[in-house]
Amino acid sequence: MWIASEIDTLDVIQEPIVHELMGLEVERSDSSGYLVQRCLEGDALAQRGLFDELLPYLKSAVRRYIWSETDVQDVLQEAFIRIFRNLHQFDRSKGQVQTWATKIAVNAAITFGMKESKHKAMEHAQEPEIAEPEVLAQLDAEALLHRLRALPREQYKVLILHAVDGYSHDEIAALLDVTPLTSRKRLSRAKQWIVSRFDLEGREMILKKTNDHEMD
Amino acid sequence: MIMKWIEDLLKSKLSGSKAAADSAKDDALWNKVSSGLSAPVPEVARSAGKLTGLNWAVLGGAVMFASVMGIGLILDEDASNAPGAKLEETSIASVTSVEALTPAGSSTIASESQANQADQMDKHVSADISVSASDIAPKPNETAVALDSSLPSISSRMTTSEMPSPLKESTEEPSVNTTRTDANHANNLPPTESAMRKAPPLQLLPIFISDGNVEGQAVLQKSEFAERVKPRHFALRAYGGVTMSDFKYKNEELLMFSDYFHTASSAAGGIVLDFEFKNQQMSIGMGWLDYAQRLEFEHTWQTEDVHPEGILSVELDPVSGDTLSVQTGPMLVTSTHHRHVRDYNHWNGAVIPIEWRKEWLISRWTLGAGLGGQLLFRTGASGKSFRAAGTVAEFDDADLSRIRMAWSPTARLYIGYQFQPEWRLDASLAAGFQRMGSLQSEELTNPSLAPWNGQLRTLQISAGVTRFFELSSSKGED
Repeated sequence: MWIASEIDTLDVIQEPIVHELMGLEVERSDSSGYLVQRCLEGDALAQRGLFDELLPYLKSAVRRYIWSETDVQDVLQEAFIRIFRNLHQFDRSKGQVQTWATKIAVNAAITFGMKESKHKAMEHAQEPEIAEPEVLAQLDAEALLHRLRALPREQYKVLILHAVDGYSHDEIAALLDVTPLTSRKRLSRAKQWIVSRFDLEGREMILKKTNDHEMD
Repeated sequence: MIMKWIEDLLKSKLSGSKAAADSAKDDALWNKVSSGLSAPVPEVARSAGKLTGLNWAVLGGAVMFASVMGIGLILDEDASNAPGAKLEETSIASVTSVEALTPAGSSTIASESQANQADQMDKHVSADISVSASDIAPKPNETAVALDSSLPSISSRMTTSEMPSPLKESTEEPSVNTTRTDANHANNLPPTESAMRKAPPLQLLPIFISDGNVEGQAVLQKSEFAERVKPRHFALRAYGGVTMSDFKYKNEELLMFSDYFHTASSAAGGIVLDFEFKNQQMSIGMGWLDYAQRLEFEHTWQTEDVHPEGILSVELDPVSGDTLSVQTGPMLVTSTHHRHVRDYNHWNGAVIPIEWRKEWLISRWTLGAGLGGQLLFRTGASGKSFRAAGTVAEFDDADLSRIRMAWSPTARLYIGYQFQPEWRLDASLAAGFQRMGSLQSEELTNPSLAPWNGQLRTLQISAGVTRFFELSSSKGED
């Protein structure tokens, strides 16, 4: 009747996962798909693996919209929770998990930004002072983003959502609670702002000196 | 064109960009995410929802206790209001008055003794007396009417000449006079209820007739009425059955581990003396019991290690299947340990049950409820207990309190069936609780143990047999 027992089990996972290469290159999406499958089966380690794989992209995506590092962490936390709780809705046939997760993160960032803008005025960043002209195409992502933050906030969001994250005007309108026409207008104004700030030389653009811009 | 170029440039630079890793922040973020995902159910809610079998049994016992008490009180009220109680006195007195007509030496109403006197009495008298004897019970008015109606018939059958000679000359006995009075109405209709009520209640008259004294005189011993004593009984009950118990910590830091203890069953047995003291039913006895609880929990933890020469990739020829190349390198090895522990804690000891009881009799059935407790003397204990860190450590009897005595308040419900005048089968359900704790940390024999205090909640389901004994008889009888 009183039978005591003590059962120990041991599971070992070795990373990176070993793939058999049948003369073909294993696409990265395969490992992501494997991780998604394991996550859906409740594998905690796979969750951490998927988190590690998506974090750099999502962090970059969120930083495009949220400029405070503290807020970035909060938005990422919210985004990942949404991702893992809705992972069962991800359809592999419709795209990569990275794309799907990035959309969730962007939505979370936009929603967070809209909540914050109700409490405090979100002003665009001041235009940085440029010592000498720079080739726009040679700026790295962070520097380019930094320059673009000088745009008015609403134009900046539409520009990044459309040009970088691939949102349609209808999607932007639904997200920002505006009409598609307003979205198009804001995008057009943002591009005009870029054109007015940079010189075009073929495929290279030279950043005008701030002084030259002021003279205009 | 330029606008399109701007879009393409922004997309190429920003879309696929990856932020640099910051392991400390990333780990902190993962901890927040994982805790947000786990979103554990509150311990209180979970434990509240988990109504253990023991809780159900205790709840059922409490409901039964209340029901039995209610039924018993109603029965008590009905019994005190029942007209049959008075009728019983009347009918007994009536039969006794009939008994006075019997020959000397007979003082019982047993049908056998009546039958032995058949050569001196009319056979109809015997039959009527046996009918009267069987009617002695709290019944509706019909009984009294039947008895009263039988008396005239008896009297009518017996003429003065048929009456036993010793009693012929005794004409002053109230009972005989009453009978003769009834005989005057023998041919009339049975007395009405108002007449019955007017008749004074008859009292039992023990009649002492000396041996060999033909003219035996009934001696009225009025003092005997007040001193007539109801027979006193006591009973011995032997029981045995199953105990069920559950354990809960009372320490703040160990409270959360209480949910790992589950109800388990063991055994108990003993003998009890049931007696009356100052018109109250009491019990005291001795026995032995064992309480068992099941400890069951799972524990998972992970360890990480770096294997310097792990296989990273293997390239195979798609046609021949030959291995073309093997790539090795450092590999992170994560091991997940899962432990499932099941063990049983035991607590056993000698017990002295002490109880106040209340019983209700329904035909041969007995319903009873008892309140009291058990004085427990611990004889042994063993098992496992938790530490605040979540590990378990073994303990034995030497780690428990040096005061081996404990008091456990209990409430009991029981039901019995009296299959013989002196024998009854019983089944009972008793619930109680007791405290249990260990020594202080410096006194514990196992250094990995943590001191603890807890409470055992217990349930006993037992069956038994009761033997009744009669202590003393009435002073008025030979």
